[in-house]
Amino acid sequence: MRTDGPTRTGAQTHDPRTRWRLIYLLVVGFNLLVFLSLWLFSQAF
Amino acid sequence: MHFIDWMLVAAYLGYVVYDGVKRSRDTGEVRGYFLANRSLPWWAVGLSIMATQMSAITLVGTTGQAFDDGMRFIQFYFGLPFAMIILCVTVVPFFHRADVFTAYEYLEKRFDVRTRALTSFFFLMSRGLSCGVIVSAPAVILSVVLGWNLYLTVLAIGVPTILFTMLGGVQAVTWTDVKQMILIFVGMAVVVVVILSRFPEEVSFGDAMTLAAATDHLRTMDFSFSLNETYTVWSGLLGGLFLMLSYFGCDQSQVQRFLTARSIDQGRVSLLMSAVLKIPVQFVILLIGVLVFLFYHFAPPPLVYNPVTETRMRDNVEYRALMREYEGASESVRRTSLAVGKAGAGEIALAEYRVAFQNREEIRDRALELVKSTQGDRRFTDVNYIFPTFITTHLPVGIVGLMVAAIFAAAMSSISSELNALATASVIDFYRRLIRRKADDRHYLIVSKLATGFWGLVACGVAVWATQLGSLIEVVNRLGSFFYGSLLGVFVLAIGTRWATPRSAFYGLLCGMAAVAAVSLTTQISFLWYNVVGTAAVVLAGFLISLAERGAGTSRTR
Repeated sequence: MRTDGPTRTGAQTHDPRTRWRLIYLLVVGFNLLVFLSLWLFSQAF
Repeated sequence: MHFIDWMLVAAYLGYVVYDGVKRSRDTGEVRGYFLANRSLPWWAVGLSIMATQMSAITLVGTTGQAFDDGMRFIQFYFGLPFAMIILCVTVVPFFHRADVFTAYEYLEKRFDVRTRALTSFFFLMSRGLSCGVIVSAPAVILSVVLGWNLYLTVLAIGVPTILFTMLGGVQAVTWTDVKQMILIFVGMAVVVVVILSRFPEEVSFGDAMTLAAATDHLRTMDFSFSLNETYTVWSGLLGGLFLMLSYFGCDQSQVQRFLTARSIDQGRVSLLMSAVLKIPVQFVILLIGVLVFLFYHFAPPPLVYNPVTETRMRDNVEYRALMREYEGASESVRRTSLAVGKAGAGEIALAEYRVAFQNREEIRDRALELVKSTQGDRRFTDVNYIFPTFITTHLPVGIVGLMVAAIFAAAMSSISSELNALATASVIDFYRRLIRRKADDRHYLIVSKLATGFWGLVACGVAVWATQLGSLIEVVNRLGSFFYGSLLGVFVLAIGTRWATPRSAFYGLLCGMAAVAAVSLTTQISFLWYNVVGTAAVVLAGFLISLAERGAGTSRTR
């Protein structure tokens, strides 16, 4: 098995566009979690 | 204020000026002065973006709002993360590649000099006035709470800010923003710890939150779809999205922050920093307001939080009677609050607490009505005085100085960015473009520093004027909201379409502002929706004008 070069998956994540899409997705996901936490906080007490 | 607190505030102000002067060594040319030669790291730019958005009113006003009305205000920021992502995809690469100093400069590249000058002019007018309001609002509050002279307070905020912004340019602005933001974070954390440590031993954090929830202070989401309600999930997500797109993408005071980043990627990450941190930080600020609200369940609260008004009203017999009544009601609130925390206490204890709280609130409402009628000021509110009054009367020596310095920091970090942006737009969009096109860099640098000083003096002048004309603040805010959505519409035409013509952008902007003015005068809808109306009106008008131009062009060629 090759270990000295980028694998297919590795090559994809090094593509700037794919990397940025992933980052934006993470930011959206994080904020959805924040919204959920805010809602749970207001319901918890 | 204690001598140590005074020294802390003075040391902070001195350090800010010293640090700004130190930075002036790196700004020997206009590009360095306004754009830091695009050399700043993402985290510094990101903190500067947050510091610019967070004015003293954010710190003082929203804690007061949470005290009074709960945490609903958080919904205002719901559109922000999505706006940041859209901006990362669109304007950040566009502006960086266009290599512009101002957002409006890009409009000349896309349309014509007329559209650039008009948008830049509206920016100068609305930001010039709002900068004065940003100075005046905390100056009035601090002068009342600390007993300082109002004009001296305006100068204490304005002069150091003008000095370091004038001498150090965008580098000084960004690096002082970083320190000021850290000071604000530290101040907030200390206040949370101090308030929690001041709760009675038998009251846990959970008990305190139960009390806050019982009075509807923890409601963070309102799903009702009402256009007249300012803070709902929908107005925050959609109206807030348009407002944040416009503020961060088209307002030079924010655009200039990410233009100083080292690269497109670093500019993007600096915006994403706000996308991740803004809502949690705002949550903590609002939580501080709720904690202050709870703190006054166990400590005697003032009837009115504006100390000058309170002292003046003590001569009034009716007010003194209300004060006595309020003392009794506050004692009932304290007693019933403590009962809620006791083991086995259930719904009955909560119901008793609600009755006691309601009774206390009714007395305070009557007192506020009395103040309004006595002073002849129907708009009187003491919401903005709650947090500063709490700071000066209940925090220990040293922490008071830290928090007053944090309020100064919040004010100065917004003002410095705005002065820097106002100077950039004046020099780059008008002086260098329309007045004197061929001069050497040194000349433009001197003019840039003078422009910064000029706008600083304008801000202080407007601040003094605004303190005498309370309603002016509302006029300024309204003016800004007329402009913001329409400005976004022009940038949508510029970046998002190929068909928009220079004429459609210019007249589209005017149509958009007219549409927002008409909507604000004839309907009661919340101001957050003005941005949606403005953007839609500009794009629609721009489309129709472009279509008409194309039609006229086609018929001519026939």
